[in-house]
Amino acid sequence: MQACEACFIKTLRYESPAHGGWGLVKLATQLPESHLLFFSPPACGRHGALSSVVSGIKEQVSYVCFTEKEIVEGTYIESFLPAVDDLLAFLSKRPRAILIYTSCIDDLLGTDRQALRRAMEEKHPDIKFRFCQMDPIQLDSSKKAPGISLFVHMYDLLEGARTNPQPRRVDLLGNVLAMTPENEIVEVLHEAGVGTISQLPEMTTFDQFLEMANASLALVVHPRALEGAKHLEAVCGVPYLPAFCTYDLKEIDAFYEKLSDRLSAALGHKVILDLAERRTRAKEAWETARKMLEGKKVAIDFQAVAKPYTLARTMLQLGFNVTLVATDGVSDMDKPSFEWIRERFPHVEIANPLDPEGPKYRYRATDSDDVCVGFDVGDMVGSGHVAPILEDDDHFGYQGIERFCKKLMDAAAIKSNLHTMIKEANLVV
Amino acid sequence: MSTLQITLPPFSPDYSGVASALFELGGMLILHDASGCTGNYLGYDEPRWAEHSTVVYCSGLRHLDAILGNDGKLVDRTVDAARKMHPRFIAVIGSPVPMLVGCDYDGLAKEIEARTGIPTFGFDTTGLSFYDRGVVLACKALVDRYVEPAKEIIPRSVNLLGLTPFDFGARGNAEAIRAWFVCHGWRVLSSMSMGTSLEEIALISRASLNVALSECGMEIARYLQKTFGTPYVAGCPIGDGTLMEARLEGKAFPIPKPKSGRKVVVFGEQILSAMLRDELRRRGVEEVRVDVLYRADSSCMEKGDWNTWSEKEIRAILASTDYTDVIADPLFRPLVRKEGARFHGLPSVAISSKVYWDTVPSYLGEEMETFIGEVAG
Repeated sequence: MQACEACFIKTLRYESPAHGGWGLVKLATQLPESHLLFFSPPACGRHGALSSVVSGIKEQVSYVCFTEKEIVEGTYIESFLPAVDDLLAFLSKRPRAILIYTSCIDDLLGTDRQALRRAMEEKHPDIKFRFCQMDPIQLDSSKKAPGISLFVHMYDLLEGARTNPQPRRVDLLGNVLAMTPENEIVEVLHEAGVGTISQLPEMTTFDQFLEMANASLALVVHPRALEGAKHLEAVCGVPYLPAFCTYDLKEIDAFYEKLSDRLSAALGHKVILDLAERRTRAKEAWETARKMLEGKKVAIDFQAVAKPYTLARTMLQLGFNVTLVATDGVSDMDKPSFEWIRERFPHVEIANPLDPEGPKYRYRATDSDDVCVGFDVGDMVGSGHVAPILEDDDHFGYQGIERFCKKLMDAAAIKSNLHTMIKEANLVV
Repeated sequence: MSTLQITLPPFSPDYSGVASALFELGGMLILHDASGCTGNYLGYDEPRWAEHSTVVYCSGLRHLDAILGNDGKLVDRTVDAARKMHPRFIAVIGSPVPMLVGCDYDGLAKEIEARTGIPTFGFDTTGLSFYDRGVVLACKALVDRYVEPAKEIIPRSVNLLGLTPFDFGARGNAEAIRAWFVCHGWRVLSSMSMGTSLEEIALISRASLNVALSECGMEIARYLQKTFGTPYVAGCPIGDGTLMEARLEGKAFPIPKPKSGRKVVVFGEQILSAMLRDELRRRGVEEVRVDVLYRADSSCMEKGDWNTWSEKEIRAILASTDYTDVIADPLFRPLVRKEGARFHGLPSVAISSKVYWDTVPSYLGEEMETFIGEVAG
């Protein structure tokens, strides 16, 4: 496939076995003491149900399957309240929140969600209800795509919960994997004087979730949570700062400058972040990886990292031989890097993994030794040298570069069975 | 009436049935949806996906396109892709949103075919029925398009119908069943819908017998009988195949007196469940009742059988019925709460998908013989 803007023209989409992400169910079930109840045609619930079985979270997810007759007659509405009652009668422990999910057809049916929610909350005042949408029919919307609107609805649950503002509490928003105590963001925040870091992947109780409303700052670790962060600020007054993963040292420098200012304001004293050693290690990691990958081609895809063109640009500037970047479009925050690559490195192939001609280019042989960042490009080039990174994993800051480089070098050194890796990743479209 | 499923996942839908039935035939399959339905089929209903370069697309339906009825976009994109990919046929497969806005699949198919010259099918699947409906729709469409009435019948020839990964997995049962018929002196003309081709399907009307291996196979067999007069037998060779041999020869197999006090409930597809019932009776099991989870043919139902997929009703069956053993997909295990009851997991791709599709057993031979023997006690 040749580099061209035509590859981003909207057309039929080819979704290879390597395509997919965390999935909405995995994101939504992070809300502790919650239950997801889907109301939809049976088909709409299948992949979420099965992915939740694979992930071990099925007991948090249930489905009400409509019939065609109910949809056509409009009587599907009558199933909502009894289903909630039946579910609550079955569960051994009452959830603190129920996310009521509808699918694409509900965008066209005009269900009065507010009325249903009021009725549910009247009958079950101990439970918070929110209507959410699993509607990829809105995927092209920057505000309404299901993975984005989820965080708006989730943080909406925090309205009224800001009862005890805590200057030394910071929220992390949008991460799927927990930022452990060894993660740079956690270390840096603690070193700066932050006492408590609230992040969904670590929470086990709904009360812990409610405490997010009392934070002095929210760091948006992944772009999917940006709209949610704006809503959190609107309902609870928690200011936010975008803290998206980047592998560019200068971007990380710039972020930490902003973080230092915002923490100073939140904590009430001047915060000076000592990051020189971490920065040096990151630089060294890049150099070690570059030497190891000398002569090898590198491919990057948009499911592995949120800013694939920025990563590609960084790597090209450092001397890596990036030859392929595979995305289904160019995000606003990645556009400058995309233009830079087109101008300075026109040989870099820009391809769309969803291109309808994908089946022609899907290699079966796995004797390529291209090093691939992401499953999609691994499948496209037919290489078993894949760094199994999904949505930047838990990478953050300078340490994120170290972690990324280690995975890159492991991928270069070890040839894996791509099909097994894809299966174990449990990707959901 | 809508159904609350707390433990069980929803089962494979009709659009997956269509796509699966057409998967190996060299066509271009387009699921007309936003992305979830395509992801559902490819990720969870098609165990052959990782190893095949079959052309399956998502139409990328979006909100405004659905509201404004912008079918022209789909037609243009399909024509464009077809000119690049040169498929043998094109299939546009429906999902819930197009159902809601009254999408005219026949009209779309005619327009695409007129512009490309490639045979094109439109299927009004909705995501509200199960895979069996889709398999039947697809197979009937293939027959209508590619099969002419036979000038002569090939002696001792057979079509195998209703052979899909949903009921047989993709780990060799299709090949083994086909080989079993060949070993028993049959010429297999086609095996809809695994291990066959459009050229083989074109020979369908020349068979002397059709074998419905599953319930959707029965409906296809009845259609072929009505259209071409071909007789059919319903059944599937399992275990040592003895029962199926007798069935093909038109002989009744003597059922011994019950000697085991076992009472078995089977949840599954109708034909396989019925064959398991007969095999268990052959081994002296006193009572075997079947809950058919999908469409049920009354000719294969017995007194005491059920026909429901509702989890609530399944729980009620398990609460109120006297049984010692249950045979069902492994995901049913949490529903079986009776103390002392034995659960025998028999994976079905239509239910548990990739969770257990690597463990679908061989239906022919020792593995199934052992399984049946363990149930019979």
